[in-house]
Amino acid sequence: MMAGPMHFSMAHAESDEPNLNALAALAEGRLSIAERATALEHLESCVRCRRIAAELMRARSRTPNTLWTWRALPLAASLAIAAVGGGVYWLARDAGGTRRVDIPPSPSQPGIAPAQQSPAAGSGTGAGETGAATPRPERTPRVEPSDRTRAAGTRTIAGKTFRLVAGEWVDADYRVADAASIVDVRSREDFDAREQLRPFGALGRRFTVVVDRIVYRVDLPATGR
Amino acid sequence: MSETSTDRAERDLALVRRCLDGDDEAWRRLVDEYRPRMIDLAMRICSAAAAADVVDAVIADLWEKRKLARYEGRSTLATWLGAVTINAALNARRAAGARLEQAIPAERMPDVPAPTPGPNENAGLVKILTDAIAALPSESKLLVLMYYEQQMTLDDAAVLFGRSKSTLSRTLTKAREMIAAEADRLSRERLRIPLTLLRAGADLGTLDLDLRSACAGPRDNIGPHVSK
Repeated sequence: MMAGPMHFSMAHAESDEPNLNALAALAEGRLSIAERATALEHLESCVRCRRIAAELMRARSRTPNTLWTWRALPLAASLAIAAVGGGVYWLARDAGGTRRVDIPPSPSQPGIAPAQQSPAAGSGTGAGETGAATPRPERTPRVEPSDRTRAAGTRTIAGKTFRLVAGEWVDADYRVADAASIVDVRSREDFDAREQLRPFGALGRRFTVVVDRIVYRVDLPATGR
Repeated sequence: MSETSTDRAERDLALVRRCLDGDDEAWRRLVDEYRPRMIDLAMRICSAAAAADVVDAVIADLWEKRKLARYEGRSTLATWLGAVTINAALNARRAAGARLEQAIPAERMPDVPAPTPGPNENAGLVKILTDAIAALPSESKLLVLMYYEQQMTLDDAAVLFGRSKSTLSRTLTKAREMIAAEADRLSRERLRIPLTLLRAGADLGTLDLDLRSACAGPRDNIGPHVSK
């Protein structure tokens, strides 16, 4: 073990261990320009080293530097306190401005809109309302997503895993070789007519999903919603 | 920031030296601090149960075979241990796959549905795309492989390549255009049809999907390779 310059070679036989010191240093951006060029040249032809490098990069992205975290804690705490304080102030000011304190009842049915639960929180035209000249913005109850976001770039909906590829969610089951039938869905009407696609509407306007061996490439117009 | 890195490197090196000197307390600290993270990493390659076994085997090797002495201090200890763990997990997964193939000969697996053969054009498309990727200039090829095969983000790729994210984004766009052009050439040469017919309306957007599929195999099939 030494911290000095290492003998730099990335080559390894299949049964040999890759240069893990070099891969770790590469993932941390600590190689010299010449060393990095050598390492990248090796990665081009070595899928194992590509995989190790990619996993190390992902791990570094997920795990913040411990020292940084400890140093940032006071700042994060201050920001949190400021955010909570600001929110409380905003709510109090908002309630005072309309001379009303609207505390929406806790939604017993998550699907019910605030206007149905509390007429005072509606558009201001409800029966019996006279003083609410300024319409208040509706507060849509926060709906927890039914899907499960497992990691950045990956999410699961209705039992199917999707990966983010170039800004578009793509079904992990999608393989070109399996794409016996490809259906392009480009209008909202077409999308709505296909019941099997509805669970995946949360993926946005553009996504690709495989249902019953049929590849649906959904690309809806921006104004379709 | 550099002081932080230096502090960290010195701390790591000091811990490793103490471990190699047979300091039990240092070993306990190393295991307590790094084992959970190592298991998390191994679980990206293999099952949770296998991951724990892999990591325990790695730690045993670090201790008994003094593999910890291979740490050169060029990265943080955490990242080096991560590399060791991922490599061991890949070995374990490949060994498990080989055992499974030996235990269940292919002819005894009639219940497993064979992959549905798609149109010949699709198999041809994958081959053409693979060849088009191989024809890219060196750095572009590696970027395409890291992005599509390893699903690396451009932020991470920027660190790996030592270039800005915007530069890599431009390189990737250019690479896609080059792949499309080369794939079209290969399609006309081999199949006598343009790529657009082969892909049924291929454009750079849909090409992204194809590239991901074309690259999907190698990522999960770590096997023999040729190293330079």
